This record gives sequence, C-alpha cells and structure tokens, in this order.
Amino acid sequence: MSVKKLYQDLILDHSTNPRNNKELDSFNRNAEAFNQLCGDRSHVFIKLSNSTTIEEISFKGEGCAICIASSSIMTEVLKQKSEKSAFLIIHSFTKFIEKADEAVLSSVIESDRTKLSSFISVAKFPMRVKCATLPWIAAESALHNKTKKINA
Amino acid sequence: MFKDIKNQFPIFKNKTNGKDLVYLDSANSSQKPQSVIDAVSNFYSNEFANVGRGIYSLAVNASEKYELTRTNLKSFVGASDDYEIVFTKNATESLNLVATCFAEKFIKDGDEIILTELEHHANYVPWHFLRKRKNVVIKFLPIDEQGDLKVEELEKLITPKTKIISVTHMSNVTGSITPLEEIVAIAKKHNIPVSVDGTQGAAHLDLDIKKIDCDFYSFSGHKMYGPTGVGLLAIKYKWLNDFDPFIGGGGMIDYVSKKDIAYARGVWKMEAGTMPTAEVVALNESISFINKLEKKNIIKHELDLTQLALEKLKTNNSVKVLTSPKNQGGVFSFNIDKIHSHDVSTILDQEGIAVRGGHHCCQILHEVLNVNSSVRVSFGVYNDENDIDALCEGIKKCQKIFEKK
Repeated sequence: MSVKKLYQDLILDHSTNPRNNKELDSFNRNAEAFNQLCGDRSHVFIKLSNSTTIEEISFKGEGCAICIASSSIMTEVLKQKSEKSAFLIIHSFTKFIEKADEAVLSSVIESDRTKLSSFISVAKFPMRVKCATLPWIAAESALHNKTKKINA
Repeated sequence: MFKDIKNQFPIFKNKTNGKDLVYLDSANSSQKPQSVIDAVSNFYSNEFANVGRGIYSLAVNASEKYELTRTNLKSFVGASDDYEIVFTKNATESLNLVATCFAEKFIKDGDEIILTELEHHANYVPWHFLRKRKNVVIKFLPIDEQGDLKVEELEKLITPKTKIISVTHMSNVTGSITPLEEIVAIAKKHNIPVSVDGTQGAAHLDLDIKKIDCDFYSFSGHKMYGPTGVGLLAIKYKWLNDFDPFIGGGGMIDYVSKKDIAYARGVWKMEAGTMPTAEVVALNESISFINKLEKKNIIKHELDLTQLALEKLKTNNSVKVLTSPKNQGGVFSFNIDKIHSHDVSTILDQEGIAVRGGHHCCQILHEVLNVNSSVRVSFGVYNDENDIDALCEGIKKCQKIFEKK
C-alpha cells in the first residue's frame, strides 16, 4: 500500500486547511476524545436544534494529518443532518474504516460518500485507524450528551 | 566501525515493505543477534529443566547457567559484591519493586520524592501509585534550554522530608545523559537513597554502578540485544533485607508451616515462581556479545552516528531537533515543520525505516518542551551511515508529500 493513497489530495487539503476548526460561540453538546498512544485530541462542539438537527458543528484539536482531516471532513458531513442520520453516518464510517469496505457507506448520500471514501487506505495501516476514528468517537459521545473526556 | 555486523542479526535479511530494514528504534527495543536466538533454542533443545528445585543433573546444570548470568551481569554493571542482582520481568517491574517493596516501607504521609522532567512513565507511574496510597509529594528536577537536568537546583528541592530520589541514566527522548555521580554526591550528604532507571544506559553508556554509588539500578534485557521477559534490578547489598517480597509462591520461601512462613534469604525472596529461565540463560550471550564489541567502541560508534545525523539534519531547515544536550548518547528526537510525528512515522515505514513517533512514554517532557509529540531516532551497534542517508531521504519524501498543498 503506497503512502500516496493514504495521503490523498482531499485529506492533505483538509489537514493543512481544516474547516470549522474553532469552538462554536454557542453550543449545547460537546465532548473530547483523547488518544493516549500519540497524544492526539479532538474536541467536538455541536449546536443541536429543538428538532434535533445539527445546526452547527466544529472541532478543536491537535493531531496528525489523518486525524485533523477526518475531524474537518466530519464537520462538513454531519452539518445539517438529523441526530438520527448523524448516528447512522458515524457508525457507517467507523465500520468502513475498520473493514475497508466501501459498500458499508452505501446508505450515505453521494456527495458525503465521496469525501468519506478518501479514507479507504487507512484500514491498510492498522496503527492509524484510531487517528481517523477519534473525532467521530467524540461526536458520538457529544450527541449522547456525555461530556466526560474519552480515552479512546 | 562494526563491519558486517548486520550479518549477525537475522532480522536484517528480511525486507520490510519491500525495502531493506533501517532500524532506528533501539531505545524502544534492540534487535537480537543470532547467538542470543541460538542460546534460547539450545537451552530448550538440550539443557532445559526448572532451576533452583530439582537435584538431578539436568536441573543442577540449568541452575548453574541461570546463576552464571547473574554473576556475569554483576561484572557487566560494575556491581562487585556490594550489590545483588534480582531478575524481574522488565525495568518497569524493577522500578515498581523499588517503589513498592522498598520505598513505601519508609515513606509516611507528607514525605517527598524527587524525580526529573526527563523521566519515562516507568519511573513516574510507580511513584504516582505511592502518591495515591500515601499522599506523598512528587517534585521534578527541571531541565534547562538545552534539555539537560539543572543539577544545581537539586539541593533546593531537598528537604528533611525527601525520602528517595529516582532518576534516569539517559533520556529516552533527547539522549541527555544524567550526571549521576553529582546527583548521588548531593543525595549522600542528606542520606537519601538514589534509584536509577538505567533502561537506556545499560547497553549504550559506560556503566560502573559502584563508581556511581547509586542504591538501585533498573534495566531490561531486551534493550541490550537480549530476550524479552527479563528485567534486572541491582540492589545495594545493604538494602537487600529491607526489601519485602513482591509476589509470594514457590521458590521464595525458606520454611512453611500452617502457622507461619519464613522467606528465603537474599535475591531468591524476590524471584517467586518459575522465572523466564531460557531468557535469563540467553541473556548471558547478549552480555558476551556486548563485551566482545567492547563498550567503549559501542559508545563511540553510536555517538559518531548521532553527531553525523544531527549535522546532516541541520542542513534541512524544516527539521527541528527538540534539544541539544551537552552530554548526549545515541538518541535524539525531532519534528518536521507542519508534519505530525505519526505521519512522518508512517511515511518512513513505507521506506523500510523504523522510527518511533509519539511522546515515547514521556508526556511530561513533551509538555515541558511544549510539543505534542516527536519523531525519535535511536541507534544500536547495527546502524551505519547508510541508515542516516536513508533517514534524510525519507524526511525529504515526507516533505514532498505534504508540500503539494
């Protein structure tokens, strides 16, 4: 597996120029996940509307290119999604990374699927799987309204 | 310096990711020479019996071999008869023994322990356990801008409540070598025992613990070209009887009745149950391996490589080495501008280069140096100048991948 496939253009773009990389001015859900192995952190902030739609989502954190790109792309994908479909995407993405199986993403809309599928090579680097899933663990925890820091 | 030495290490015959292996992670664990691997195999094939129990010839011979490693280790560390060597699982267990089976007996609530900002988690967490149990205060001897310990500040940290000082022999991140004799001299004035985490020192630095005059010296077999599963703890003889046994069981008792038990004397008290026998026996081969090459040659070889690597990396403006210690061993860590250590590590791995990325079990030091993580390079006897060239090329490749954006 070549590293070029791992560090695809979209991943490099999001890691060097992350979107929604700030603390939201107003949020009602937040959680932080921490990878003890490397010290990577991802703190996710969510503004959930009364109708349980993710109105705003952002992240603060530090970590490798995979972790930052995954955080950034996640905020783009989960924005304006209902809580229910957010959980579905989170679970699909986690499974997709672990199994390197794009079919797992079939229920995700195409524009999101294209972004998420750029992480396909991560599964070939088992030591890097946690880098990609860390922000998603934080987002899931935030949606469950668990604020305790997670040692992922 | 050590011509064709890679041939003695079978691991270098294999490709890693299709490339020749460039192993730059000896501070983590060293690779094993054929003689050590053969010694494990030979012991199981031809000489195996449990030690210290049976009185048949096979058992007696096995026991003798096991004890021979202990004897040779004593000379290896310069221990003489003033010290005893206890076999443990690893240096981490040795440090835990010092904290739990020795220090805890003498430490009361409110007492103080001095560590340093350079410590590996193995020389912090056991003391943290003690802090949780006994409410002791842990103080950290700071480092200066170069990454060396400010030994001149030790005196200020010591109070009548200071009960033990535990320091590393060499930082596993920056390679800064601790002036142990100075530290022990200060501690001696106050009658404070000194424990040394020798994990990085044993295979790579000049070692004469009698001259250092420390009270405890912990190290690991697997970092000195030996097998995993064996740790060592050199204990100054006068403290041996003050150690409580760590775990109870067979082999560590003198007399057992329904009412009471008397423990075995000396080191046997500390080695309950069947020990990693083949590993201890094979460790003798790694001592021979190091002795044949001679420590002074090993030190020079690794230092030359370190200096060469640092010089070559200096020409790359994006590479920032964490610190530049005055007295450095064969270890250093760096970061490449805007590229995380784990990304560097993954890209180098594809080139067959094994380095460690992360905080190397030294979160305190990384916090002090204000970096999230780093890439570590550490040398062993099998490294050569080609490895450094491969590293420099690999770093350029990392930059190229990230340059695109």
